[in-house]
Amino acid sequence: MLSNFFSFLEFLSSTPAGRARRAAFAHRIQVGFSLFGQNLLHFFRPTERGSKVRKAFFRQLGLQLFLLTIALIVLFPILWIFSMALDPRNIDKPLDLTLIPPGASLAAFRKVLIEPFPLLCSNPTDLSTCMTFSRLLINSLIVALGTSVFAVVLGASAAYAFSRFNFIGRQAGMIGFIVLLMLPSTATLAPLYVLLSQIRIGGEALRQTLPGLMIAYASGTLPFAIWNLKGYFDTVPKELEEAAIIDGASVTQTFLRIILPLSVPALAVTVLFSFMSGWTEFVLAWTFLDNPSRFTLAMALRSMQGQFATPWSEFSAMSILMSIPIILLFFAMQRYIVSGLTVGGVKG
Amino acid sequence: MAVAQPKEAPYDPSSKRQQLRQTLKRTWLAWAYIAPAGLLMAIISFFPQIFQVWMAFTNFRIQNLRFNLLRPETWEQFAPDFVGLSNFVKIITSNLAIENYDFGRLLLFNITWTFTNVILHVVLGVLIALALNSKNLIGRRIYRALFILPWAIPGYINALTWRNMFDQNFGAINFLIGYLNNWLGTSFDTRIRWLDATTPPIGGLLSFLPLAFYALLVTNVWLGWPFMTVVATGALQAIPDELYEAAGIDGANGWQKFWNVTVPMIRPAMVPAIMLGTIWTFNNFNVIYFISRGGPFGRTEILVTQAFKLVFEQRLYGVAAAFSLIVFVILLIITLINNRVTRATEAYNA
Amino acid sequence: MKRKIFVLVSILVVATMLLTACGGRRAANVSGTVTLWHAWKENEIASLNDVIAAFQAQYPNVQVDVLYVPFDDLRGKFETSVATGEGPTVLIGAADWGPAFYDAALIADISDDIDQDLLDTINPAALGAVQYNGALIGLPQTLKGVVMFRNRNIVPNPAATFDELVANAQAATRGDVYGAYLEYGFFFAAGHLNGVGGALMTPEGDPAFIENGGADWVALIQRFPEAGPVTNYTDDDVNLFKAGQVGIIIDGTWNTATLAEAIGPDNLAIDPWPAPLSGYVQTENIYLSANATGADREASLAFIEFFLSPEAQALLADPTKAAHIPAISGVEISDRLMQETVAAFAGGAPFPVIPEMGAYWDPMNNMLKLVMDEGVNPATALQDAFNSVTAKVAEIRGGQ
Repeated sequence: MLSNFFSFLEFLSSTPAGRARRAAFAHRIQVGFSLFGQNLLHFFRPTERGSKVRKAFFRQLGLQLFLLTIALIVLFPILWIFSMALDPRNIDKPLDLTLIPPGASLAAFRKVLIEPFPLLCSNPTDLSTCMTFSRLLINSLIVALGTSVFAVVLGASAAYAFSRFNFIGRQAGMIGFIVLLMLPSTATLAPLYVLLSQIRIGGEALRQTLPGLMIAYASGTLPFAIWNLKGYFDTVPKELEEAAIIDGASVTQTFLRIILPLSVPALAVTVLFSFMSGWTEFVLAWTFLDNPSRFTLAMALRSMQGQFATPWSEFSAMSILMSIPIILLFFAMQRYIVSGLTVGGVKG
Repeated sequence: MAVAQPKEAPYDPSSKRQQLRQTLKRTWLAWAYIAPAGLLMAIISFFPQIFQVWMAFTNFRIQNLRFNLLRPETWEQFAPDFVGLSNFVKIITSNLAIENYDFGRLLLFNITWTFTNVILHVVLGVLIALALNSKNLIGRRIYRALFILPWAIPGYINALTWRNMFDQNFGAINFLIGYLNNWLGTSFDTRIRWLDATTPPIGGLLSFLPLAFYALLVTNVWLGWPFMTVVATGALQAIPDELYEAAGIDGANGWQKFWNVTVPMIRPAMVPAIMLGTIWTFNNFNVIYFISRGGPFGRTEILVTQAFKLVFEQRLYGVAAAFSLIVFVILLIITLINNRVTRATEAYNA
Repeated sequence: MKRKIFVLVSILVVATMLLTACGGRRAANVSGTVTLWHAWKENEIASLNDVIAAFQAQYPNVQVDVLYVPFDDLRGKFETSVATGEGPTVLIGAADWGPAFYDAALIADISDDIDQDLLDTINPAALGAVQYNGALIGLPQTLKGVVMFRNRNIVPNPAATFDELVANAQAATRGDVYGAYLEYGFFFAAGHLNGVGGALMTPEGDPAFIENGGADWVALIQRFPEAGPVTNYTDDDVNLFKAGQVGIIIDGTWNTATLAEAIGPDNLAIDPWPAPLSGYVQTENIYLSANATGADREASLAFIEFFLSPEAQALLADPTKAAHIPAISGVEISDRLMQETVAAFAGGAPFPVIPEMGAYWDPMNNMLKLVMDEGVNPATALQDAFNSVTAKVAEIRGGQ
């Protein structure tokens, strides 16, 4: 996605590379038109070529109709959130189905982005101690990225052992991790709270800190991460490591220098999943954190949901703003996600 | 992290002791690799889960909240009573003081919910992956980017949005039906009570499913297919063109190619994804809790939402913990069956 | 069992003789930290800041730390943290949390710490909400409740009876404007049971609604559709009211400011209940954590007492900020909407604050939905709800 963006910039630039790109683009359009023209000529001819062109045309038409329908269904709720974010009336449902509601404005976006959140202040009498979007964003990034780091480092290490070693307790260990994927944690909040309150770092309970949240979230994503990474590691040919070991590399070296670089897609998927869980979680965060300067975007979103009334325009604007980083991450990693999720299963 | 150690020692059949030592060494190294994750999970996940298992056999309630294993002085006053299997018996015999509670219906609904969702996710996911993967498709990259959106938007936001869309009076869905009526001259009902109507839209065997089930299904299919599409896309891209060409030479038509080439080739990738999807859907809290809230009259409740309500509305921790264990046992059965099929827990070189 | 004990209006008229007694016996040099958790919103925080500033003027050595927690997370966070030996020293929370918290030893009995003089200034009905099992489990710091809102542009006159209400609503209904959009979710409709002279439960919490007016109550609610569309726990009524398309709705006083802003304060009226309708009046309480000790406990008690002082209550009643209805006598109210609220509360019904109330919510609302939506015979539905409540009450009391 990013590289697309840069090549687009280059396309617009007056450098020789930019000129070459524009020329290539013009050529492609020309070829496209002439092909289209030729096909158009053949389209109405009762020849074999004509029937082929007709077949391809109707195939394309069918596919486009199908995919456009899906695209509309995908976009419908999203546009609806947009419409609410633009609505100045703060109602939870628009009274009519319009993309641009009457009196539409970007005020909700501006308020969320610029103004301090008066509910989330270390000292409510002093607005400068209140959290702002950017400060919440920094905390969210810290938590989400920290969760990803924990999940990738610990997950890859454990998955490597499960994939490459035949050792006592392997089956039991693997099943142990998967079991945690299946046990709902309905009544575990209280014991976890007690536990993380006991562990103190620098005079502060781990529970109240962002690292405490990170490890709690990471432990939630690890079962899937280990499972998925192990599947991927399984597909990396063993011969590569054997060759390295003959050259005198240690197990750890082969893991770091051979397995990991070859497993970027699966690592990317792990990052994505753990980033998402760190980015969106709020129940644990609201239970554990006591210091507003550590609050996250997801917590702020939750705080907008009132007991009786919710400012829906701002809630929607915040929802959209919160989704953007994840969507960007998805786009950036799109090519890895496909193979990172699949290859582990394709080994056959 | 671990000591440098060649993985495979030369195999010597004459010395069983050496072999054992080798195994132990490998075991030690393997556990050293697992230790960081294992330790974290042991502290953060296993311990609270073990506590939960213990709670399932007690009458833990709000009065016992001050009970703290690490503080013996709280034991005498706040320890809950051990009640044996009573929580489980009460749950399974539908003997709980919860409104509209019937374990059989709950389980039937939970399983129906899971399978209908997973089947639709897979079918739609593969279908769209096939469409996206077809040759000379115009706008492929735009579609790929768009189709990831339902997955990328946080689930809480999606759920609240869909709840509002299904509103009887001002929901987008009923508005949309109104527009269609204007446009096509039809006269569909524009005041459909998507989440509250109790008359089942399909009678007979399916009469236990209220309209809200179908609304939830639509929502969760909207949310769930992109994951399956991504997995299927990866698998489809890995199929060599030669296989299709060979099938073409053998005279196979499109349908036969799909069944004889595509399906067997994507199956290994889809099976683990289906297994995962089953677990996720079985415990899909967000969609049910934030959209139908289990209604109407508890008919769209699933096990985890029921357990959550026990904790957060009635503070019956013991019963809720027992619910969690029941969910676990059911999922374990499903997973073990699946594991038999895929052998997913085995090591690559075993 | 007619227990209309909300004699607020008369109390508010009572002279301010006892007021000087407040601020009383705690020394001004008390030091310590008050840690306060609440779920208040922006306008309320503005008043809270005023209260804290005034408190610190009197107690300069006390530090006050305030934390906002979303309402849906506040209860769980308080329970978990206090049970672990941590948490705040003071909590502002819903009245119906109190008994359960007290049973779980999470909040303190403050009956030995609060002067009788202070208690005497508090509205007696409100004080009832914090007296549980012979203990004083907190103090009521404001009154809120269910009232009837009217858009004066759509329905010009208040109704004295339900029949008049129906007539007014029907007269005002035209085009896409509804005269009334009545709510019958159990929380909003339960007060009418007291209104028809019935009772939901015995003082001990056992269901009593079958023999005490249950049938009349359901019959009354069944007539709601005569006035216009009805709703069960959706915000449709509120949304349309805000859009200026509904004349009369039943909703909580916590929405007064939002509604006034949406249709203009001059167009909004809060009516006295037309007979025999009525609505729950409840308190919001301030609790002392059972974990508070030493100087922090002293400071927190001083804060709680100060919260009920005429000075603090007047700050909280600021119509431009929190606009809270005071829980003590002698605070003058000049805002018209707040005056109308107090008058409406006089015809309200007390919200039962006992743990058994938890057994009523689901079965009773279920019953109303079955009757209104599914056409179930009211007598059958009432009996089923009665049985269900009885079982749940037993569960709440008896352990498993």
